[in-house]
Amino acid sequence: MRYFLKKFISLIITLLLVSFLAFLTFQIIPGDPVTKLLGTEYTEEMAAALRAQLGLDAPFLLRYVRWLGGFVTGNFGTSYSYNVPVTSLLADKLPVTGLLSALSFLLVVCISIPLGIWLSAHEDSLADRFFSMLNQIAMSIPPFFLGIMMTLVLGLVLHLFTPGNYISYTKDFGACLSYLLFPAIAIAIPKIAMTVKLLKSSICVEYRRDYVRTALSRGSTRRRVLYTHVLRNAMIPVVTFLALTIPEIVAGSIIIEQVFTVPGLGRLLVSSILNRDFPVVCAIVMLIAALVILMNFLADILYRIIDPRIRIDQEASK
Amino acid sequence: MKKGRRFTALLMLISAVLTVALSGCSGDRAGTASEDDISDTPAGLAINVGLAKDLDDSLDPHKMVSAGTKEVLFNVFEGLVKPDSDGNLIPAVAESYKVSDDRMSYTFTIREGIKFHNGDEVTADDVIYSIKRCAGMLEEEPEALVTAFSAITDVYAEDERTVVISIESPDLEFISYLTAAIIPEGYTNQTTSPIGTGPYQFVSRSAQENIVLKRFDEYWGELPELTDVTFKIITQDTIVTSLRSGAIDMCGHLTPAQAAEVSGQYDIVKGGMNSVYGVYLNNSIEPLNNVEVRRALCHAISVEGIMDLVFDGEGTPLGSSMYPAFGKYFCEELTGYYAYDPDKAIQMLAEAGYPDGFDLELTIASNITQYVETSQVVAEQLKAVGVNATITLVDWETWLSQVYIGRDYEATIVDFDASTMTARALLERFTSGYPKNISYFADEEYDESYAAAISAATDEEQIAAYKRCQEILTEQAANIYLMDMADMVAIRSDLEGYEFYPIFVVDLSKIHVKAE
Repeated sequence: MRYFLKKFISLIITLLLVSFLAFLTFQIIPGDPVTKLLGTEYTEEMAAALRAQLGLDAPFLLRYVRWLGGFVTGNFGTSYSYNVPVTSLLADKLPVTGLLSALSFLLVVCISIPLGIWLSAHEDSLADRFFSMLNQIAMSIPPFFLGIMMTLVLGLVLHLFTPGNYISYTKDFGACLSYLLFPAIAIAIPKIAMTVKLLKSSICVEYRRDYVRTALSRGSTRRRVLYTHVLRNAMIPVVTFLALTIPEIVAGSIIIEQVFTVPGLGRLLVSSILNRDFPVVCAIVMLIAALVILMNFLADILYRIIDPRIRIDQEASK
Repeated sequence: MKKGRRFTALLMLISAVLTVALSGCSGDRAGTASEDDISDTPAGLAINVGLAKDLDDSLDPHKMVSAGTKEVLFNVFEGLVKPDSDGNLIPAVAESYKVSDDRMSYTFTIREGIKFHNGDEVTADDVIYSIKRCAGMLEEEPEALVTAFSAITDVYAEDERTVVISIESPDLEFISYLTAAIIPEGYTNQTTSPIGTGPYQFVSRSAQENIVLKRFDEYWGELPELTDVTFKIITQDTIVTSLRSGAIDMCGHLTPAQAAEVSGQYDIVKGGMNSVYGVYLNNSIEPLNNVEVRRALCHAISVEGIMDLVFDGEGTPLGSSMYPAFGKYFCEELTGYYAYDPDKAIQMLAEAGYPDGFDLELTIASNITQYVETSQVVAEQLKAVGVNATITLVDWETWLSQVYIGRDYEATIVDFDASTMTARALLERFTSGYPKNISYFADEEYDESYAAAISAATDEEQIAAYKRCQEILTEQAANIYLMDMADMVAIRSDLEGYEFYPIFVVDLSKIHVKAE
């Protein structure tokens, strides 16, 4: 229990720090939302009126406290650019990025785990060497480059999808999903490569341990040993790694959304930063920060479930 | 053995369940969506138009500021009068108007039976409300939203279909400002869900995704052929891919390079950007406060060179703050006033006391590719005459606050348009008292000439005065005027009818399928 409490308090403190930093950044960078909103029609009087209307005339700390108060009570404010509540913007965009990330994560899990197990059983075979090489390449390609290549080859040459023709999930869920599959692959490929490599080496290390030799000498089949003993141990680093890739996948989708013109959180974040639309920026930053922290937390918990030797409360009481 | 199988089986089960679940959803949704589409648009013509910038602005016609928003919502709103593609004002919400002999009162007759998109008829009250709102005569809007409207002294209804607007002094250009949108009185959702009287009505906007318009079937004028138009928000970098994949059917403002890439698959329509593109100089700082230095800089810049390197040779060179679409006001003879002559520029700089040149910082908005590329050419051309030009890239918001509003810069590259189709919009910005005179240009004769143009009694007087203003800007080398950039539109090859306006708009109502 103490462990959870400790984690929870650290979550709150981190979020506070993140929000303060996000707020401070907007204070420091040049350009302000009023300039953007009034554009070339800017006059001192209009600017002053708008500043008062948006509450931007208050001192920095007061604005921060006001915003924080709103945030805690679920009022994220109104987007300066779109004049709609931030919550409704997020509700519109979150499913897009959520779907993209989930699809991507699913691809990583469903492809890398079976592949890693299979490759570990065929260590040093021709297939293994081929995949090791492929892995090295896949790991070193940045997703945005992969994305550009995919739009060119799969989209424009092979016509497997229509680049730029994103269809909203509210209009046609299936079509949306099949469009998102391609950016999801672009994000997943490097992650798959890393997971496969990690799982394979982790299994191979376990195989060399004494308990495996004992089990084998007792007459267990290699397969049985793998699934009953080895995999359980070998999965520990992999599960941690997978939990930590989730925030990375979300971050990756921010970039990939630009390449595939997917209207998700990423594009909204980038445009909101350029527009100095900070209620939107702060909300998205908080969301991502919370996700990273929660996933770290989840990794910790999973770690302890898989390996019962590590006791949650023991560590907390240390 | 068992456990291993179970593990693999579990994975397979998960993927199977997900596949079924996801495809199940898609079946349902697809069914309803397509049924809707069919019932909504019997034999309709729907197209997707690419937009490289989102309409992340207020959609209120009196409050929107970004040129991109005005460009699209031109199809949704109309004023008492509206511009046509030749730059004339044609009746819109008003079917006719009369100007009194003293030119201080305008009488408009509202078109019979004209309706807003919500189905309500346009009344004299709506017109009065709209004009008062722009003029800052309403309690909730105490600031004039259209500066020229502060000259309005009275707006009243003579009868149900007649509205009279009085102004404090005669103004030949006043009628141009009556393109301001007429909106329904008391409707409060203009910022997010606008209602006007135009040929297209607003359906929806999704941030960074799209803006959907559909034809307004009760439009007073001729019904356009396109029934549904979706503006898809893409990025500068994905314009070509989206066109080549067919995701969009039309896209404006292509660079010559982009146009060349898609020219096989699409028809390319060329026109002018209708703006004054130039290197704007801060006339208040050393050494740019010396007119000889500014003239030398004008001689140092080769517009041809910029056009060839950045614009594939496209564009119309300009000599002053006016572009050809303005017809009667445009002084063609000012083009080429300063011939490209680097040797002369070096000599003039030496005579002005700068034999070794000087440092010059170009502050450029980085989001517009043309500005960045032009600045590189300009910097090289300036270096050739000994001026050590450096480029500082800033984002658009920073540019607005630092250069446009703060006027704290040395030189910048930008293009100015005239959203109201008046010469005033292009020339007022160089009068000495104008708060956004980014050149800090101050010339007594210019101010007098500008004032004469505003209060001119006849068209001829006004044209002469405006032309004199342009001459002064050129003679005094207020800025280095470059060109009216070329604007290129890619349109699906079975469509035609794209028309360029002297202002920055896209008119969807003219686009139609080519006759066989």
